[in-house]
Amino acid sequence: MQEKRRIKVLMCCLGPETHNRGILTVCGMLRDAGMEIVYLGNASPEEAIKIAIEEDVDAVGVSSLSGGHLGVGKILMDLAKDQDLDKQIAFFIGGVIPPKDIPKLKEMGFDGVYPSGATREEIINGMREPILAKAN
Amino acid sequence: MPEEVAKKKTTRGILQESLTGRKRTSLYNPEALEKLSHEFNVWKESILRKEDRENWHVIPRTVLGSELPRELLYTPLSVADVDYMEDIGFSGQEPFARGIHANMYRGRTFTQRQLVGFGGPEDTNARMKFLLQHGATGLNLLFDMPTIQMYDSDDPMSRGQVGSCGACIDCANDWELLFDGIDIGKETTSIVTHYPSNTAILFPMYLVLAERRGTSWDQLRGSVQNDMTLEELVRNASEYIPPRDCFRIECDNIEFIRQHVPRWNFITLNGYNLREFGTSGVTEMAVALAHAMEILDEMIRRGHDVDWIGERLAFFWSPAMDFFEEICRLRAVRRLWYKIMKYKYQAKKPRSMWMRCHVQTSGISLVREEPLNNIIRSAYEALAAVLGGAQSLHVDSYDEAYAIPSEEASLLSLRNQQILENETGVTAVVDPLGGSFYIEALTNEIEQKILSEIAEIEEQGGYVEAVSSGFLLQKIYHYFYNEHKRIENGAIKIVAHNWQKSSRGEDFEAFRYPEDAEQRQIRRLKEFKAQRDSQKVESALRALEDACKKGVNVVPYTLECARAGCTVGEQWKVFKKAFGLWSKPSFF
Repeated sequence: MQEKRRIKVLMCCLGPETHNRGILTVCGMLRDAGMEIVYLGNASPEEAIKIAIEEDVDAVGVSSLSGGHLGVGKILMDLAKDQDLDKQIAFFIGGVIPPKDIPKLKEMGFDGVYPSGATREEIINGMREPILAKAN
Repeated sequence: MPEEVAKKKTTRGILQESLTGRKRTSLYNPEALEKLSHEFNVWKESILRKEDRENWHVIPRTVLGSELPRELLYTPLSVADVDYMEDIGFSGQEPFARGIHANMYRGRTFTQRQLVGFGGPEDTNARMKFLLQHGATGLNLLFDMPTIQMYDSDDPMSRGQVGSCGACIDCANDWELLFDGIDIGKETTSIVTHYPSNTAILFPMYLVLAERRGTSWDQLRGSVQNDMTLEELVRNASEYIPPRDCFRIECDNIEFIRQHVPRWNFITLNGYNLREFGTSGVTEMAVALAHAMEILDEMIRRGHDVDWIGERLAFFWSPAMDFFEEICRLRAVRRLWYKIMKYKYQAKKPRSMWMRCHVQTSGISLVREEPLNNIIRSAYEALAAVLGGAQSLHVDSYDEAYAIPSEEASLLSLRNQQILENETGVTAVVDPLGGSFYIEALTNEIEQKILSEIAEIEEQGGYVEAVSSGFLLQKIYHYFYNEHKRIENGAIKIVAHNWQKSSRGEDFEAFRYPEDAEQRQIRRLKEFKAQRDSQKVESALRALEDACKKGVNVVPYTLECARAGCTVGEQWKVFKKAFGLWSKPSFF
């Protein structure tokens, strides 16, 4: 995919996560970087996958601040793999994530993991590469 | 601006009318001030360097700061028009700038109330007992995300999140495990319910626990949060009920608790989470005060006496990193709340004019890099809270940018408070910074800023309207997105994060939730549902739905639900059905 078409990203918190400053900040960064945002607020993993397909997005970004990242992360990636979606679009997760869990999330299939404190450059550049790779 | 809003007087206007024309007496005689002013100018021209003269004002760039410009030096000229008795006074006396009690911490020290909550109710119970054994003087109970959002542990929505960030609670029986071996007639307990909806559901379960233990409700002391700001503005959720209905439930909770649990604080007007969401200390207080006034208006409309409500209102603030600003904010809001209660609402009891508050150090000011530095940050914030005269304190733990605190980190936070109280001597003197030219000038300025932002909300049609329309959400989003840019460009310095950058801490061993909590809780819920009387459950839920639709107070009905063994999720479903869903304004 050339970057002529705007990159379209679905952003949401999974399940009952209440915190949203982080995801709203990242939405703002991605929008400023020229990406199109589909912001769901909260969604179940099933809804997130369904809307990702309907909206034909290039990537899904989820935010977790309450310690549920391994649990909800696995549910989301298992659903994505069931539909072969993990090969076509990129998946990202960010939030309050202990260092030891980062390799585990990558093993599950997340293309990028952004713990609190990740910079704008780390997030945007880190996301672009796998998004473009998967789109081609 | 709608016409009826334009006609309504702002709080600022009402206070101005009440206070203008009063005789004011300065502490300084004009002759001395004139001489001082002359000497000051000479000093500025001869002693002070040119570049300092030119940069007389600086704006502190701090996390969640108000960015009010500060002078290089404050003098009697900064407070020349202060009337001591009118504006400062003595502690425990109007205008309460110096504290709500005459003897402040000599009489009763700040309550050391550390938040606890993770895993199953039994895990949280063990941590609460641990803190009590180590000298905590109050309990502060937090629920997991599914409980806060009112989904049962076995709801598909809850998968992977049960017991994260708080204790999981599904029904009244879980409260017995939560408070096993803890005397609820003796300990004061802050139950951090956050929302009105879940307060209406969860607090009656606590009342049922008291009934089962034979503890009478008038012995219970503590607080719930019950704040619509959290439910409709701060949180993220897939389902919201409309703000007007949420506000009604909030007021129902207030009314019921005031009538039946007389020593309980029925609302904690939560500035804290709003500020942590990302806004200045001025907006934090303006929103909470505008909200408190709307509650008073509604209670008066329901026929209640303003003192009956006012004497049990409590507030919850976040002190961030601008040390002196935080001290001044507490002094300013205490004086402003007094003026509002006295002059706008004609309260009679001094207690109704008290701005009583719990304070929690700022979590958003803590970073991952070199996490031990966070202990230092929290200690300064805690000191500011005590110098500002807070009634109750929680100190955040150094590991909170990674996970909820470990047992060791929780103990350190409690020790942080105990050192402050017992080793530093700061509790010996009431309002030790009162009278400082800088503190008094900044206190005055912040009070005016809060009033201006209250007027802004009033011009939107009031607090509930400013939430419904998305006005406050937009304002806050712009604040935190801009703040983030200032952290990115280094204007706001955070040590080891964006200044003297360091990656230490990336091998940090964070607290791990008990992994079996979710399965344990789901099993327990299943067993409970199998043995309860399902007819009783259904009729209690039906009665609750009728009450929601009829407009009567819902709490007697949620209480019956708690007694009948209805779960949290079942009651939330009733609310959603009765009130319908609201789409929160969005901007993406």
